[in-house]
Amino acid sequence: MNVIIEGLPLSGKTTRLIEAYCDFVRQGVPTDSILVLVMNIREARKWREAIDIAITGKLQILTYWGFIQKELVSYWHWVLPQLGEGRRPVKPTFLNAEASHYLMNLIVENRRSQGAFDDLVATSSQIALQILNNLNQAAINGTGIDEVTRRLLLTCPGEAEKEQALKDARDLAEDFRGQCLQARCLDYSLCVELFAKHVLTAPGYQESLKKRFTALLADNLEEAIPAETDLVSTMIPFVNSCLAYDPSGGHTRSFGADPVYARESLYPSCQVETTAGAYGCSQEAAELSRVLSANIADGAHEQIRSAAVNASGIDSEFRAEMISQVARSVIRRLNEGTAPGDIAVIAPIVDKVLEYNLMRDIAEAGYQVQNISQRQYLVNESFAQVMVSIASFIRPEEGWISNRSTLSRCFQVVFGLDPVRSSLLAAHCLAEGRLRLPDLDEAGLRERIGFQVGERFDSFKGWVQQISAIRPTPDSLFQSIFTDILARVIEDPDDIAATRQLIASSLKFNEAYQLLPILQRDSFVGRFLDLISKGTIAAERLFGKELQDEAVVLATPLAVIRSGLSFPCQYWLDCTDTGWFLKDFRELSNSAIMGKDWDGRWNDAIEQQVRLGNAARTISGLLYRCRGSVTLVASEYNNMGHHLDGSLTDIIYESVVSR
Amino acid sequence: MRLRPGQVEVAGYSGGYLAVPAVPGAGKTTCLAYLAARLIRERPGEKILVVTVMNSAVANFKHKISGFLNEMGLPPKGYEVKTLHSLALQILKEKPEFMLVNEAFEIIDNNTRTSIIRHLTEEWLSGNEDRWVAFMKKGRQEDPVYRGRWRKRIVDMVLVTTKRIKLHGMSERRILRLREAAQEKRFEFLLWVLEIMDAYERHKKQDGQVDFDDLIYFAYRILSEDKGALEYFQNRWTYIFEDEAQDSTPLQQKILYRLCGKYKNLVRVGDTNQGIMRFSGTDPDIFRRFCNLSRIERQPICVASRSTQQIMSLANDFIDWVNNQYPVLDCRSALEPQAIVGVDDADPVANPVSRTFGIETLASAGDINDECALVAEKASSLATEHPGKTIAVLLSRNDYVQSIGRCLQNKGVEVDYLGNTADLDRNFHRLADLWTVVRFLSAPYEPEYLLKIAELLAPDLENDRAAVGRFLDQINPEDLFYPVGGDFNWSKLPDELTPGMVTAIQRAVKTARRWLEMSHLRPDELVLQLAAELHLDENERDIANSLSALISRHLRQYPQDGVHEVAGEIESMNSHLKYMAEVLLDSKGFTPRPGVVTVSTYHKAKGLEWDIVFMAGLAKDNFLELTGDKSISEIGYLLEDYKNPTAIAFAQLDILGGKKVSGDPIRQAKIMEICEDLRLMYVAFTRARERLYIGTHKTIKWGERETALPPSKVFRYLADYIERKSNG
Repeated sequence: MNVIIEGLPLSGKTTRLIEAYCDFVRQGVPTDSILVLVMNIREARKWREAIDIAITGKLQILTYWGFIQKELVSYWHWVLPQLGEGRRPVKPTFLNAEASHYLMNLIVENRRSQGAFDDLVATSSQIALQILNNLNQAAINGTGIDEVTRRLLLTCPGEAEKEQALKDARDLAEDFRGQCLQARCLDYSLCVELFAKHVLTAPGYQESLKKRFTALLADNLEEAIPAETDLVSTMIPFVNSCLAYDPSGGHTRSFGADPVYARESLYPSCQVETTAGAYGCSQEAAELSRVLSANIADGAHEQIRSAAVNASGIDSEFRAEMISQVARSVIRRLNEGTAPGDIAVIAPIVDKVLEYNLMRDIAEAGYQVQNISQRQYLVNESFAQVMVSIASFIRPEEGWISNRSTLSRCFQVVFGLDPVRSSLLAAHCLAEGRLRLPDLDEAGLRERIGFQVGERFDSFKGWVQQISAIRPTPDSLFQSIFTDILARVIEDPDDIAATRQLIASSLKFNEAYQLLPILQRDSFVGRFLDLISKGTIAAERLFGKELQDEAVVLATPLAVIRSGLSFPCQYWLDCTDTGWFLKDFRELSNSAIMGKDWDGRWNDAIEQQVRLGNAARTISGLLYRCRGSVTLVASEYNNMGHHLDGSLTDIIYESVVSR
Repeated sequence: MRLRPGQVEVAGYSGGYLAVPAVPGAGKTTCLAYLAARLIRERPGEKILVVTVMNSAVANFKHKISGFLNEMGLPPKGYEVKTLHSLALQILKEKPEFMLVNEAFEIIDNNTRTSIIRHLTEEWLSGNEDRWVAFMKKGRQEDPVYRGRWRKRIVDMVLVTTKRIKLHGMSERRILRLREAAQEKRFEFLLWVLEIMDAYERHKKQDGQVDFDDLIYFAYRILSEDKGALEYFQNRWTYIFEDEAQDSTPLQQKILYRLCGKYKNLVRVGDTNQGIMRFSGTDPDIFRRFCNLSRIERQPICVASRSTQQIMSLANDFIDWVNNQYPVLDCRSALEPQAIVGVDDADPVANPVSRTFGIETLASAGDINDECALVAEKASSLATEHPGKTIAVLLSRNDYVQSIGRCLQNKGVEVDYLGNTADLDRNFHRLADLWTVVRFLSAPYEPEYLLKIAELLAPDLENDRAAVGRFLDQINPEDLFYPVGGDFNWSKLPDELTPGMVTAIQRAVKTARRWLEMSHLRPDELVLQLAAELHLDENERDIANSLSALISRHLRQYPQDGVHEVAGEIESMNSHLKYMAEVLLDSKGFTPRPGVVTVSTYHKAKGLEWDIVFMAGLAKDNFLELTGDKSISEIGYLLEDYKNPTAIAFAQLDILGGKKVSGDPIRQAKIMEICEDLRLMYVAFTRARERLYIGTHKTIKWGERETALPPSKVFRYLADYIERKSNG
């Protein structure tokens, strides 16, 4: 039996799916026969915690990306012969998003220096991301990069400069793909493509799925990419399934989600059950969501009498004043008895200025703020910096030099030095424009940094010389740094996690390094340190942290929507920022025309429709997570002193008649 | 509201193209705001766009329109007020992909643009020495002083000429063809500019940046080439009002024409006689020509209540003198013959009345410094005699402004400096403290930062500065902040320090140590934390926020950078912070304070008024008068035919652009300069409400040498006018 649970956010769909899971288990279905597809790793963790039943096998709770990686490893022997001449490894190597971005960035920089993208006002990183997006869209929709380019070219007839840029982008995409294929190094797009072409449609695969799975649970199908929908469609005929779909969703369309395709593909084969109501929002907020959606997306002019938007918003000229006013308002509510976890401060971009000032003002009143949109990078982790610095001493010939601030931090950690002495020592290490550990006596530093530290420094220097002479392999370099130097000084579990992650990342990157000639144009250590120092690798430790009930939440709209939380009190900041009206189209990419159902039309009216549709979905998504009221907050100027012109406030105030 | 003649007709406007030439003090903002409110009331659902020049004018317009709407019982809706740049930004944000611009583009302000172009020009100069040295006179070519000066002048030429090229809306392809043509014709100056401009454009593109000129250029192209975008914006605003139309540029006019292409409702208000922004690429002739188009309705507003009859008569007579008697024939059209008329008796705001003539000259026998002293003396006594009056002293150059400001302050007079970069330090002096701390944290072992941090943390140090300095010279910073084996031995402090100072230093060390403990923070967070530690006020926090955002931007490119590396970027970041400070100051506007003397350049005084105005420095050294005189734009150490490179580059540009270039470009440049100076004088006269003092000096000093200097022609005209009126 196949069921789709349809319902608004927080209406109990996931709970129903988990109940169904437990029912399957109670009925004797082994847990390793039940495939659960979830939206992201956080959801997977929530599922694991929520399953309150004796486990009868391995849990198969995976994201689509996780699932196809496993399948590609299992069925590599089917895929490999299709790839033509080249290496014949026993299993594929996977490139994560960061490594793919780094690799594409290298290719873009290289081609840019030869004149490609001459007319573009964009950084190489921005260009690389768009080309990767094109590859992803081609794979997700099963179209291929030529079709993606053809569609993009259709949107700009007669624009010679743009046509050239798109052709350059296609060439680069092909170059990237060629290098990955040659090396058998699979990025996300190649995984999706190979799985769809050579696994999902292979003659014996359905049988294999049938043997392995008897039940399928898929959550958030409105956020599924077409390739995932195809997988679900394939499995439905031979499994019992319970699927969840939110008709108000589709928030990740720009990443390839196609809710319409999911609906059209799956609804005809399933029985649809609708959950009543939405527990995450008040009736008034739900009604306002409907009206605003229509007014924003369809240009309707309906007015609604509603208390879901506070009549008096917060308006200020400059942003410092705006943040202070929000903090004062939040503190007032907290002092009046609102629980911190009931308040969400939401902004299209949560930057350092907002985060710091809001946290500080609210902390002064004795309350906490938690930023749930925060993405921390490994390069900012203190111990990761230390490892990178030490590696640069060991392999000075790589030409990679740690900067003075990083070295200073390194000496504080390794020798327990104070900020003045560590800075002094760092300055001496870089004194002649190259990196070297100085002779303390020659440099007259021994007395200044202290004799005890001097001894430790000498011993460290000896260790560096010794290790350098051994010329450690990439595998052992960071492990040695950890074991010989850091293990003695490291205490905090977060720091241990950061060093572990760095070691794991180096091993993983080394796999790609060994396979991709473009990376080998520089040494492994040089490349890896460059990768880390460019801030490409995200620190994972934060993903493991739980949301705190006792803190005010600070987040982007998407983070709120993905959090599974609802709030009686929401502040929408920077309402004059156009960031509330996100686009799916850029100079080299356009997610809006990549779907399977695209009818070949693209014009300004459609552009507006897409943009307003995105804004309407976001607003609606937030209101479905609002149990009380929203306060609109805006400033006339942004941090940089530029005037803001977004029209969110106008649209809302024109739609709402206050009670 | 009681409208005056001229205002009545403008306020009755219902559609079409309308030119409103308005005299100084005609109440054009009030009139336009009233008109906007009236149209909003009568045509609900339609929207008005007001485009003006300064952020302060934006705030003023908004305030006035919402005030009128409030009086009419209407909510503050139905209008948008923008500067041209914010309008252009809005258009580009709507369609960046159409211009192949990434949506996350960064905007570089004019200060940053200048520093990038300066850097690229320096690079170009280093690689092209033969080319630029060849234009120097023999005997000067080897002199490092003159070579250095010429290098600086080339930077100026590049900055001005690139702006001009941009403001004419030339496409990249056209610029490329221009470069080829310049090469073919061996138009060296223009060619240099185009070569450096090419490097600048590449630099911006690779970093995903656009400057203010790009904003205007891209906005124009989007409106010209993207029908959908044009339609969207044309539908958005039914009426478009342009304020300060005399400061329009060719591209600005084109943008406005396109925006009003559907409803064809455009009201342009300005005063050609106040067109004094040539340096920023504006051209008052644009508005002059608009006013004279046959299809345009023209409705002047000539009635004003700002000044006394005597001052209005002077302004009117000055126009007459320029039009009919100015010795350079080509400059006689610098001012439009548009007389200011006082209000009638029934007007609720009457013109001020002065019992005396109210216009006097002040001639100093010495040089400009003596004149400053003389003016300061007079201004100081007037401030004491008339504490309720507002007073301004206007001069032609920033260094003179600083000089007169010091003279006044020495006399105990409170001074407001009007809008120059010195205001960043004056208005936001705690920011300098922030920099001091950042520099200290970037290299805390450097003794040179120690004294600075001590001065910051122990502000009463002044008398003990030398003793503390000697003490700090003798110790290593690490021993002070982190003494080995416990506490620092405070007995090392000099004996002459008072116990209070010893305590202050001990406290300072404790604070500095707390800051040192923060130095590992990400620099964008560190500056925010320091801003809090230093108790910056809200405006200063806005600038600190801006700094933090800039650092975040830097860290996106160089994530591993810490406080030391970021401290090395201070100079380049400072140029943006100055921009932010200007926005802050500008948005607040400036209201002269009674009893406080405002000091300003003539240019910055535009749009303001005071009861008493001093126009100082009207000697021949500060103003170009005849085409035979030497202009400050002319460079004596260059070959005779090339002594004004900017004028030549402009002429080369015009020739290649197909424009008819008649006569000697150097002479043409002088005519433009003289015309603008004459308009500048007119602007200055009309800032005064009740009294006007006109100052000059009679000598000029070159080192130890002092030579006689005649007063300017304007001064002589004024002296003559005063004499005529006094006798008559």
